[in-house]
Amino acid sequence: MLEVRDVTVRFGGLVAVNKVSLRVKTGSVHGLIGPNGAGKTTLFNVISGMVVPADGSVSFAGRVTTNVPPFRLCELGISRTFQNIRILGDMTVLENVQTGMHCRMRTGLWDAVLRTPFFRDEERRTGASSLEILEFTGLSNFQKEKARNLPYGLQRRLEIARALATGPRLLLLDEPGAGLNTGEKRELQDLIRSINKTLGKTIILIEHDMKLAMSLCEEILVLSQGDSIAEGPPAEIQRNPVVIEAYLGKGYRRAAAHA
Amino acid sequence: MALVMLGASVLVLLPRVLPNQYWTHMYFMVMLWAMLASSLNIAVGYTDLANLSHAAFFGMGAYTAALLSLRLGVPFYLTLPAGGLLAGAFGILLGLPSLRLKGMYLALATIGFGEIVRMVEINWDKVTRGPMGLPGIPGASLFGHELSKIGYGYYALLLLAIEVLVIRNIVNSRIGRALRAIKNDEIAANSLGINTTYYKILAFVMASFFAGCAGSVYAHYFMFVSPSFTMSDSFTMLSMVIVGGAGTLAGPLFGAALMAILPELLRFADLYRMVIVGAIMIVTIIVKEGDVRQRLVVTARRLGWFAGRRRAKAGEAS
Repeated sequence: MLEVRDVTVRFGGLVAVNKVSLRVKTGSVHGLIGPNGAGKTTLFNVISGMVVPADGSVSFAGRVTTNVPPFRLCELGISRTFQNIRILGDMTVLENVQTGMHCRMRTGLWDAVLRTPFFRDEERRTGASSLEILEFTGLSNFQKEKARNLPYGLQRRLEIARALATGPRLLLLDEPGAGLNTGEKRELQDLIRSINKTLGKTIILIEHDMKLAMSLCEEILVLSQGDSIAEGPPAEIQRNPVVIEAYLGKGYRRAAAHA
Repeated sequence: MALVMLGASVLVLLPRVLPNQYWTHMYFMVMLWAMLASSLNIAVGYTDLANLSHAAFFGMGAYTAALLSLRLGVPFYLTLPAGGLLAGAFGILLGLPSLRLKGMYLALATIGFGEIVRMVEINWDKVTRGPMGLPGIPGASLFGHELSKIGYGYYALLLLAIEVLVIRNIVNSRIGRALRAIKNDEIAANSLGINTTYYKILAFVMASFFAGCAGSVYAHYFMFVSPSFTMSDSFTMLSMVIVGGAGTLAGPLFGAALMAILPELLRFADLYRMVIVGAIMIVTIIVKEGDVRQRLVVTARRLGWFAGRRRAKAGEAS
């Protein structure tokens, strides 16, 4: 479904992502892990069209998308969440989700001004499906609340709900578990699993919580300082000495050997 | 809803009971300012795009109406959309810098744009007659009847009502949600499939269109147009939006009424008039969020600062 080929991103002299390739199969959950500054979010930015890579290409659903702007990629079916939450704080929870449906709606200026039957019908339909999404993500009790006033964990959930509202085929989740407590993480894990299994969305997940990443992902790509250092199923990644070194340094191996 | 009906009926009845020509004129001016402030609110309030050249678009509409009716004898009900459309078209031009600039920088760019427009009005002698202006613009007349002063008031009220209705319908739609999403977080908006380029330009175009319409109303009422649409008018419009409450429907209406009438009511205070106006502005602006009702409540509470504080302390103690 998604193919990233030899993507390189440079910020001035810094190579943030160095010739990274990634293939994601339809229906899978793919993990993206690595220490801070490894280039995970930059890779997300490339996939979602926010950064144009210096080199390499991205293709989605058989189409090269390297230079396609984010809002078009959203129409094509790529949606994402952000590491530092970007909810629409002034707007209500329901409005946040309705805004997500923007690219699936066809109401024009005149329809809106004249409140045509088409406009009414579309508002009704999208309003109803927004409520369904809120139901699915467990936010239906908060629909009238201003998004800013939600507790942190629910804001993260709302961002996922809003991403779902765009009708994606591929969902990019950037550290959805960051800042959540153990209970919230467990709920998040269930939510992500049901997005994948029930709704059939393909997911790429950046996550620092190894337990979460290992239990959800079928395949994991490890980045370190812009380089792709390992790729494989979770069990393999866990045992891979290069990965352990990148995360914990050489000393860990020595300590482990002594033990 | 009841409040809206009440407000509307007061506005409809008011011109009948106004004491003299002067207040009838003030009524018209408040309607005109309200049209301008409401339209500016589309860009500044809902989309968060700084715009300090709104008066320039107002002027474009006025000049368009003046020239069309002077040279070609076009009636007022056609100069209205013509003024709006011309201003709207130039709104695209103003929208372009907004794609790269934000906040203070965008504000400066729009000031520059406004000044260019004014320079054209002053120096394009052949068309605008420069600083001498264009006198003798035919007034608005319908079926051979000239509109009276009160008639103009109602004309402006009608247009204002239509404008507010249109803005309301736009804001509560896919388009309005896109504008508000841009205000909240442009990057998120883009990632949600909103073509931010298109919607930012659209916001400027809609704002400019209504300002151009207001320009036509102005031209036929005063029957004279000159390069008097200055940056300070743009600032007045902006302060009306902000004082009343940016990004709310009723805010700019209240702001326009307050900022237009207050200086008149305070004439007795002579020298201190504008000082008082300024002080009231500051108090209102400190309460920067919420709609008119919340603002009035909070402002009142601020003014009764000590009483409120003592009560809060007593509450803490108990």
